[in-house]
Amino acid sequence: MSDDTVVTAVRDRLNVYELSVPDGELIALADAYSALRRAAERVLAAEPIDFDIAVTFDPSANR
Amino acid sequence: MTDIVTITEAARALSEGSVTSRDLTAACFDRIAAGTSLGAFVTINRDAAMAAARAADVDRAAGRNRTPLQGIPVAIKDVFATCDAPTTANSRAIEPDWGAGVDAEAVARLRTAGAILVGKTTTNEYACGLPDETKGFPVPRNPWHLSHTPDGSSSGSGIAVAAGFALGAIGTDTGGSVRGPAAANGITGLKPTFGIVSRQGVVPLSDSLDTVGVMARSAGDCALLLSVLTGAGAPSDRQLGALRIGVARSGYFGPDGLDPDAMAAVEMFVTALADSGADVSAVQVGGAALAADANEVIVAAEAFARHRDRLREHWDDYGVHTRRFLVGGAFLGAAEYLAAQRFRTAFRSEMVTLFNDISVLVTPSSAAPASRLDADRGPHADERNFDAPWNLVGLPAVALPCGVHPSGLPLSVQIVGRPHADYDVLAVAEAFQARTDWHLRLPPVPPLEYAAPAATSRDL
Repeated sequence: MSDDTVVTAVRDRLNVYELSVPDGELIALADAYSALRRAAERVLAAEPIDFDIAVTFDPSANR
Repeated sequence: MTDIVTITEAARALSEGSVTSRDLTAACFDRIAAGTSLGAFVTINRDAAMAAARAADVDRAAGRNRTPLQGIPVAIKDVFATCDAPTTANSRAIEPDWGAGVDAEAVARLRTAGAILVGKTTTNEYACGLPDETKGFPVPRNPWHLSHTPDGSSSGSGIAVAAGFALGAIGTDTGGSVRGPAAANGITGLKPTFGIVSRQGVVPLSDSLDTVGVMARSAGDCALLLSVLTGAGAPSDRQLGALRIGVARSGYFGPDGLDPDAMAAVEMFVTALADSGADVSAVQVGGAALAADANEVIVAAEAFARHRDRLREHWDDYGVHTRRFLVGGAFLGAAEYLAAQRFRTAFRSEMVTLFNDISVLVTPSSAAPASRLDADRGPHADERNFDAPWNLVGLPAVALPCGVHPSGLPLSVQIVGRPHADYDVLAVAEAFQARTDWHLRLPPVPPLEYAAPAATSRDL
């Protein structure tokens, strides 16, 4: 995506949450957005992930 | 001025009557006064602390001995509610009366044990941002080199212990926020097993990851602090049995891995344990980098869920680094969050299997010593996180000093254990610290009037 596209995506996403961010800060947020998206996409692409394992939010479950 | 630097040593001296809590506490305040450039504290409680120290001395003289922490000066990260001081989380965006008038459960346990609370320490804003000079909070600096970071987010707690402002401290660790400052400041820091220490009264960041941790010079001191926080008491005999150590070199060591001096220090640590009779083997930690990614995704999503409304109403009150971090969760969807949770489950299963074959896992604490304050440390800077995988799976992990970089900055190693093996990882650290003195080294700031240990480590 181009920088303009990313900035637009950031602005649109923030609008969903009614977050009004000064234009001058959108570029910095776009950098954060891109880095976080890369991390998320690496996790999404990870193989193998056992989709049969139930999601649990309790790390103590492995006692 | 007293030259005592560990809780264990102080407790012994107190019980022998060779020092009073007033002596210990006054010495801490003398050092605090000499080290204001380090930016370690948001609030200092000198009058209340000295009154508590006097009361501790009276109790001891009357034979009312409660715990080894009785009369010991400790510092509290400013995300814990305390009944006698405001809780700021280093933020102008927090509700002004957050936690007013009550103690967090961990703080209450320290008070009940007789610990002396010297003050509340600097944190990265909301335990996630970076120092923002425009917001009026102290900018923490590394006591080993003022132009370097003390790391965060439990920055002030790490500084306080290293600089002798307190003999122990508590912090929180969501992706390395206890172990990072422990490593950067040359002290010992434990992130316990998830859930064994109460988070009641702690400013939250990430509900499924936040963990209350302990910081002190030695692993033995950390065990004392942990036993008070859990209320369970430390095992009286922490002797190690046959110790099987897995060393995670792959993915950490090598030309694209660690700073060479950091790598050498970790190898020296492993050699020392092997010389003590431990069985050492190399292990693969598949997915550790992805685990750090998953941790990042979960923290971002959960932190944004916590801060969404407040960001809308108080955007400018947050520090610039903090708001850019916290808003990250807005860019994630349910699919990404759940994929990270699903990976978490799979990674946890892999790690539990790994611990069928080893007692503890050894990794570096970080790729290099503490970076300069002016380096790019913004949200999502390209800085590998060796701590976060163990938050993701809730395992106990301790960072302890294992050398000094040619720059003069401390180097650190991390020991990870199976669930609820908190005292085992501390026992391994203690075994190393019994033969070395890296954990007793004193930084150059503030200038210390008490005797420093020998400048060179004893032979291993």
